[in-house]
Amino acid sequence: MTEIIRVENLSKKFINKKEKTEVLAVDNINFSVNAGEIFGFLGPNGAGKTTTIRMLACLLKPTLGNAFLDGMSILEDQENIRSIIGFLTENHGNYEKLTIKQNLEFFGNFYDIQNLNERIEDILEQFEMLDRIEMYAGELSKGFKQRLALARTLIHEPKILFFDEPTAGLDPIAAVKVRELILKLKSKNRTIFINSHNLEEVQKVCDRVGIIDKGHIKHIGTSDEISKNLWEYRILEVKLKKQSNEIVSQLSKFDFIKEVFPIDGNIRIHLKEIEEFTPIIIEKIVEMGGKILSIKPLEYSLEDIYVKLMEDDKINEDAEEKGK
Amino acid sequence: MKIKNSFYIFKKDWQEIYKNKEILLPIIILPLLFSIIFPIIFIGSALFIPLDELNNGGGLTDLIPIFQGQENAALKIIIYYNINFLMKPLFLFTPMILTMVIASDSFAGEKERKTIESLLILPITDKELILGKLFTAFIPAILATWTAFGAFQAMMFFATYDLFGFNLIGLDWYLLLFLFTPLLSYFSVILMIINSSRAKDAKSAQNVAVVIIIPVISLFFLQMTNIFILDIINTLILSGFIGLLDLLMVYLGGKQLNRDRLISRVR
Repeated sequence: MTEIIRVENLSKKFINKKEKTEVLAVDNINFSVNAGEIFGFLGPNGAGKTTTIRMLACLLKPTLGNAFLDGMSILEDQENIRSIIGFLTENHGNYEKLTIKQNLEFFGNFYDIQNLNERIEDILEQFEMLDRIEMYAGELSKGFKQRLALARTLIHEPKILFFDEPTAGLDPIAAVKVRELILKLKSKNRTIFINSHNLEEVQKVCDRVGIIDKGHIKHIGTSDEISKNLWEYRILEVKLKKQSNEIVSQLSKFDFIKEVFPIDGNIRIHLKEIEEFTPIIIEKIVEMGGKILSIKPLEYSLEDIYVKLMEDDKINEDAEEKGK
Repeated sequence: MKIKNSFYIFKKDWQEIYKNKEILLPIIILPLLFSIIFPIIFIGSALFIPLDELNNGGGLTDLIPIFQGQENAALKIIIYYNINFLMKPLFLFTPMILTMVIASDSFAGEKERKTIESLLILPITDKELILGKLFTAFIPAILATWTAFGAFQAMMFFATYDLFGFNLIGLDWYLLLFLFTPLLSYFSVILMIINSSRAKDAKSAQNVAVVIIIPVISLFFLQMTNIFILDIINTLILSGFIGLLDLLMVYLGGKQLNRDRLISRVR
């Protein structure tokens, strides 16, 4: 896999001269994103997500550190970087007093697009808005405004896309359409960096996630990798034709099992090495006359991961407080 | 530097202004006011003034002695005074007000309408971006002023040439319109753009307008009361002074106007 975004010791400090205050919005972060990957950047409000995306898009200068996009430095090659990226801002950013065509003409003018009019028609056809080409952006529904913003972001076919809360404020159908489009872009080998606090959305479309809080990266990886780091034990869920307390009590005797408990007609088994011990568990159940209808490891959702991280953080903070 | 990028911004801004009555109306009304309405009032009012009584007072001929002893001297003096003393500084208000209205919207308007990020992400330099915003305010303000001046000049020529036997609009006017006005407009535009880049919205960006409006109003009263006349020498001196301020604005603009500062204020 080729790295297309590499972030090295990136920091951003905001200084308010009037109030004589300093805020370290991003503190020495390091990570990379591979070409063709959808990378989700998660974190609560004020965590440093937008500051990071703005630095990567060459809108803000870092206080320290550097980042490279397609091999170009955000400190030295701002204009070249801006020509290979697309940035879908949290607010759609369309000019409402301009027509759809005027909006796309304006943004398209700044890139080397051979036949801009043809490109505008093509992209509007893709987004099913060609029949609205002369409509003013201000007259469009929220969903269509977002489509226009996406069309604008993609007009120059950028290599890297930054999406800041791409489905914020959209109705569920419009949000699904945007997610479908993101996946379609991935199939065209675009690299997509998504800032979001919509965990379900990130889980659905992202290959890997980075979790940021208070300017620090807490975890990076697939949700599976992060959950392995976060939880010592995994859960195996077994559905039996008939629930048996005897089976539950026999399984509890295994050393490699931490805990077994029945829930909603199933048995949930907490253990470390799920792949290694599942055959032994199956063997034991069958030996005891149990009829297995299904058996599967339960994956932690991104929401579970996120909540756990925030809870751990709170516990650590409280402990530090007490230590003082 | 790609100048065409600045013109794309200029074009986009004007497509927006064309749809914005709050900005478009002053651009249409002010030149009309200064080229047609005010001259009619100033020349017309001369016809209703009891000229003989004024003339007997002797004050007018003291103020403008060149018409002393001539036929219709009092009428000539009133018209000459109205045009060269009252109208001349008033012409400075057109570019001032237009640059303020347009330039205050430059970045603050983009922030207000939440389009600033999509503008700043474009692959253009800070200079091209600022030049585009400068064009948006400066070019129309100057063109509107010059158009109004052209109409005013034609009107003056037809209305007063027979009475005076010479064109009332002399070199001092040309210096004021084609040297002093562009220099002052440039100063005003950059000042407003800097303020607009710091303000949350266009209305709060206009609070700095007093810095420019008060000196222009003072100039109007000084000229009206014959304390400071905008003749050739004084216009050249003032132009030199504003030219120096413009250089200062180039320096300040370069320091203050950049993406980092613009985006840092956007939440």
